[in-house]
Amino acid sequence: MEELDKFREQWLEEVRTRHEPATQTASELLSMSGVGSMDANTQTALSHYLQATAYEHEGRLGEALGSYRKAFRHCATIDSIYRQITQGRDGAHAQAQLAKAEQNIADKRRQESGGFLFRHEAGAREVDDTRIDVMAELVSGLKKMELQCVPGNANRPVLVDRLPDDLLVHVLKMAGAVDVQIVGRFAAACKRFAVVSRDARLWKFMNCAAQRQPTGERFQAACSSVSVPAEEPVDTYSLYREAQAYDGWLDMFLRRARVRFDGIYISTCHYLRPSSAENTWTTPVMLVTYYRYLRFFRDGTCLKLLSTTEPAKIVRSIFWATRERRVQRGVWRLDGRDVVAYTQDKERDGLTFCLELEVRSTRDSQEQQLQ
Amino acid sequence: MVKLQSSDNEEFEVGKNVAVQSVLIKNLLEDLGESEEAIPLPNVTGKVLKKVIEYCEHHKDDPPPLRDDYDDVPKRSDDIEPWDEKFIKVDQELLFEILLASNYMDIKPLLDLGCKTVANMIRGKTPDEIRKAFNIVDDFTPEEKEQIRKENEWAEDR
Repeated sequence: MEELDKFREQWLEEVRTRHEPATQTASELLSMSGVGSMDANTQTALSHYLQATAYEHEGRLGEALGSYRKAFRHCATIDSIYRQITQGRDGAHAQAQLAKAEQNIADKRRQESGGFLFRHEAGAREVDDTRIDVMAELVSGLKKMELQCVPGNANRPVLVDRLPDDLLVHVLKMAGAVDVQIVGRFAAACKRFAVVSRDARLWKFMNCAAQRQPTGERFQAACSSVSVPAEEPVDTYSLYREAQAYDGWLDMFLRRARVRFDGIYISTCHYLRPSSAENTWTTPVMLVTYYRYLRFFRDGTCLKLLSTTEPAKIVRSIFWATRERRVQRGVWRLDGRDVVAYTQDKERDGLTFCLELEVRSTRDSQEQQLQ
Repeated sequence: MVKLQSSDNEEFEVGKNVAVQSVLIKNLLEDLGESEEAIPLPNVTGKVLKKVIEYCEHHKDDPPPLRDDYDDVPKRSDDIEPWDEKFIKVDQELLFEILLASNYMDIKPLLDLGCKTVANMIRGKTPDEIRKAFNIVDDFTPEEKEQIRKENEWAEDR
């Protein structure tokens, strides 16, 4: 893209300079345009015409008019001839430039990928490549090669090369079920790992995993204290249908909304409270800010905390075994796009709160609604 | 009893309930019937086969794993039983050999255990540390590296 922009600028520059007061003479223009055969009369007309355009650019309109008249006296159709010539030259020039720029871009792209990127057959014009596409190209290029890891210490064998890709994909599934970040870092280690980590089977699995209803010992224990409606099985079939709309399973995983476990959801709430003050003319108002913290765990449990403490001071203390008294423990459920969290307030006679949330696929990805 | 023969001609005699945890052997026995002759396992060395048999001995009474819809059941790398954890505490070479053997002999629980262990090896590591763990070097060109970094941004933002 950058190249294209640069080229565009360059080209505009050239066009500008060319339209500046004609310093060219008729013969120069003729030789450039490649139209050789022209009778003397037309040539004289052309030189007058050029003179006229030059005057016109300089603002000497009276002289320009005189020259135009002379030109037309010599040849009545000089304006169209002039246009033909310049357009022909412009066209040829622009085309040559465009071809050159495209060649440049293609070359550049080939260089970028270390030489094993093949060019689009008809796609040289198509410079609007998205990031994913470039990556896919790179990967497909890499796939064609026999990928072997380069040993760090030549004296020791690279044992991981003995494992076929299928097994590495299986390993990544295990890792991805814990934290997708592991997969990302694995991919950054070397070329072979990068290719393996883009395997469709892995991302299909990841989509299913993100959709799965949570279970676990802590979940069972938490369920016993909170009244939770019965679980509905995952509809894998609808997941497949949904996948049609995406550009592969990886794309789906990245773009589709999912609950994240590697952080905390914070909702900031403000309200105004009138306060009283003596001996003043004004009525002061207090702006109260409090935060609603919500943390999901993969095993189906969750924590909720309402606090006026600022995030930086408190988030570190929101974990399952926290001593923080006001933390409400509970469980969460997936209901299609919705997450339903059931939490219990021990301080208030074990009252159960139900929080219905919709997961959205934005960066902060959470919209809250309190019931 | 079933006889198994490793690639280096070591013979092992194991109970049938132990041997059939390998789907490969189970199918073989079903198709060919039991015989006095040892079943050759040309891809598995004696050292590895011994380890595999040790695992199967310990798990011979486990219920058979669910095999249908396998891909849709997420597995986690951090729920390993204590015995298994001790069993799989071996050097990287043997670990990978066990992985390959369990893949070849089709012993799903052992394969899962091995994969979980490898997953735990890379867990919490930076790319650099992963390279160190596998004795490999960074073979990306600077441009590729930049692309990989961009591509993986989603994995790093937290």
